Amino acid sequence: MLIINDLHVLVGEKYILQGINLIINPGEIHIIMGPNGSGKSTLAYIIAGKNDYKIIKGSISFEGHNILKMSPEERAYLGIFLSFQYPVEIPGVSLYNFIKTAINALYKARNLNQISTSEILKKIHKTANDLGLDKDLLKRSVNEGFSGGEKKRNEIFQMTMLEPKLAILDETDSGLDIDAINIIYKGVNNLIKKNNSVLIITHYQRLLEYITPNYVHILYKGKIIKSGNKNLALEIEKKGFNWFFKNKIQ
Amino acid sequence: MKNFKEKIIYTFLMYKKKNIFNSEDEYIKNMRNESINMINKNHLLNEEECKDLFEKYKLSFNKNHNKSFITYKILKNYLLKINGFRIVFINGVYNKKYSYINEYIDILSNYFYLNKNNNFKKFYNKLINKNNIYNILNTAFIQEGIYINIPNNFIINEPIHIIYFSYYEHNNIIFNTRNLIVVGENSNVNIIEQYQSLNDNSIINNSLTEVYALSNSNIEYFKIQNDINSSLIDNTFFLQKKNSKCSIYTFSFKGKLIKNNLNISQDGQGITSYLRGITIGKFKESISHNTLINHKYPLCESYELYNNIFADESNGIFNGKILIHKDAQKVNAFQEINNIILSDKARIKAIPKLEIFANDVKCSHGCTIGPLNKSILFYIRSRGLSEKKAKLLLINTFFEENIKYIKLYDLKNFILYLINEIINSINY
Repeated sequence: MLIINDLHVLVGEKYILQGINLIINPGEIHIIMGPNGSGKSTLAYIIAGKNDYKIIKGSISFEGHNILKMSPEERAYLGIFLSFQYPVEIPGVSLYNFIKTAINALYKARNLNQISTSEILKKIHKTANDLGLDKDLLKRSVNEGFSGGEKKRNEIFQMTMLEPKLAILDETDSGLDIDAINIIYKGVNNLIKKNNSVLIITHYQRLLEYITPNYVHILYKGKIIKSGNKNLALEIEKKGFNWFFKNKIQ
Repeated sequence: MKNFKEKIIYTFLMYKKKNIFNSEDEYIKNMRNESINMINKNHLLNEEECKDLFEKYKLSFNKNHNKSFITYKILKNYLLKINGFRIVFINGVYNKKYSYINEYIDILSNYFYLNKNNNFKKFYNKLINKNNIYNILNTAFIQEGIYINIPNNFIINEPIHIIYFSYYEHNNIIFNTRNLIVVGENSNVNIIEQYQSLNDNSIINNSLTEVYALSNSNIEYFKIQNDINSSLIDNTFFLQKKNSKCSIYTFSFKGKLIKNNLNISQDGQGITSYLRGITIGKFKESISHNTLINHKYPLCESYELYNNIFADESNGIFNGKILIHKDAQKVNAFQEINNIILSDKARIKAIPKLEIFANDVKCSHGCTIGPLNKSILFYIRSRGLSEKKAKLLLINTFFEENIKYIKLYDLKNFILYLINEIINSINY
């Protein structure tokens, strides 16, 4: 589904990614862990289409499409979704209207029949209910005045509404309480049930109590230095990232 | 080739020779003569600027160029579908056929001939800036306008819509239109003033409006500037008496050159003034706002919020002055000017000026200038909205800050319609 091949990325004069290789198949959950500044968020942004970066080498394909030359919206049409680490506030646009507009845009781009406003409304309320999202937030401007936790819940809410084929969760679990983590679990589960894939970027192995990934990768200084299963995450917790890096060099 | 000053005086004398002013009241005659003398003798403010602007233009004082080929079919696209009073001017001349008015609305020039209304003289030509060439020029050549005189204790729910159509066969004409609006004590009125050209011939409207808001009155005043290739110099003066509330909206949508000179004078306690504006600059348009809020009395408030966008090679200037006199204690005065620049070649210059002589006031100004927020655009696009849609969404919400205050539902829709039509056609 997603194939990243030897991706080298420059920001300013610094190499942030230095040869990333990653394959994600339908229905898989991948977790990328790594210390601060290892390039995790950059990788997420590049897949989603932010253009502040210079791609020096390598390719990313999604379901056979070379996506590196595509705009963010075109990638969204293909089914890529990014849950932002720092969701931005959009003053004046209610969450309800925003999600409705996004769904209509996606349906139109995919040449699907438009779904009626009442159907969207029904789905919005059901999803908000399932995820325990406060209904008042729907009427408020997107993320404006939302608490940190509410912003992250909102990302999962949007993800569930838009049903992407590949969701990238960029530290969505950071700073969340147990109840909120449970919402991420629900969101991820909804996607996996439909054979969609999830790429989770996180600092903590706490999420593993809820989610069982197919793969765990360690990203260190712009490279995936080790991949494994759930146990790798537990090992990182014990030994720290540096240990893996030193061992790799030796 | 005559210079600018000679040209004005020559034109005036020519009209005089034709006995155009003959039957007018002495009061008006004197005013015209006085203005021409000032132009002749004095060095007036903005004369240089005015010279450049008017160089190629001819002053119009013709009441009969109202051609009948302008049909209702053409006009109706621009007429608000709203119940209320309508005053239509075509090429600076009042059009009775398309207007419907009541006893409180009259044609200004009617008062030039009859020496019956002393009330009129009490208000007319009292607020203008006598050092300003545009004001003086307007007073000397005033041709037509509207006089609205709302008595005390009157609440008019239906808006009064004044619309100036221009559809001129010739280029380079200057119209001097003039309004006088007096809103009585405890009265309430909504006024919409719209400039709408019907073809792209180049004319200049040098308009002057004096508005009196007497005690406890409430005025909502909307200016819609939607000319195609014409220019507008709008000089508006408000005098507010105690406990009155005025909200003035300036929508500068289209126009080759638009100069808004908005002057608010607070003359009593407990006064509130709201100045709200939306400017959409595009092509090579030049749009400026000069606002002055004169706080003379204590316990008053003023709020200014202008949200502007500038695309293509358009440019804008915002001069916002707040003057708080020594005795005007406990005054709240705030000014906020937000500008979005949509192209590398667009320019905006913002010059806030606060002059505060009282020591117990709250007064501030804020100004932002920049492109649309890239992070927000990326966020919206990552959800599947195209770049253009994302930008339109942000611009709409940017304008919503001002539009949300419009209470007249049909007017609000009309404004939104005009905005959408324009921002959809902008180059991003």
